[in-house]
Amino acid sequence: MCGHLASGFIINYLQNFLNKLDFLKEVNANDKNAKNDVKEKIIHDKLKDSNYRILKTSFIKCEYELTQTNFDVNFSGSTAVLLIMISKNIL
Amino acid sequence: MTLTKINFDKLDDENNNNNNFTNHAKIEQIIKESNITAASNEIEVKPIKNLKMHKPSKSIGGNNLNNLIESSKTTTQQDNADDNNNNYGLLKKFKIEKKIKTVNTHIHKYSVKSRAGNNCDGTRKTNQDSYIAKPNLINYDDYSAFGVFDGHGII
Repeated sequence: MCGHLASGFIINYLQNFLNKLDFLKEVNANDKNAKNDVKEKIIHDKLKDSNYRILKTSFIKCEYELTQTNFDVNFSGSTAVLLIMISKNIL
Repeated sequence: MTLTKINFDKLDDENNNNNNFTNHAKIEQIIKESNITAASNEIEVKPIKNLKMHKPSKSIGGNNLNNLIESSKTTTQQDNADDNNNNYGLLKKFKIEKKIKTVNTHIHKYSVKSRAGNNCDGTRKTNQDSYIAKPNLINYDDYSAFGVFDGHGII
């Protein structure tokens, strides 16, 4: 029974990965006093430019790291639903 | 913790009296005998405690996947040290429980509830779900992350 191990691994991995999104930190540092609407536009532009690659690669990397563990990933897994919000809007 | 100091000025005098070794060879010999891995005029060797090395990812698949993995590396050296402290696989933060919290951001309340399903014979399945509930992502109030991860596997 490894489903709980897989889902637990994913939450720990994704939390730490999401905490290290450098471009979000840059937006905060450069536009600290900017309004939320401006921040959202900057972030949306950055994500569109990269075709949301950062979020995709976070899952790809997470999946890869999961295969490196000792969990039985052939018969166990996790269905992920992740929601990221900026201010009051869904990313 | 022990400190090992070698003054190589004395070695020069010894080498002048005894030409069996060149200075470089003498230094190498002393380093080999004393298990020192660095050389300078005055060596001070300290054992390193809590040395943490970042574990590089093994290469799998084609180059495209590796490039994607490489491009997603946004961590710094300090972050890598933090990674080792966090120990993703140890599941220290793994919990399944009902939780209601009040936070001082635009998200005033959030709650999580997870419930196991039923088998065909009416017995309850084992709950293998997890969740993310982070009202303040990256230590800023503007970013939040919420997620549900429906774990499944054979029992």
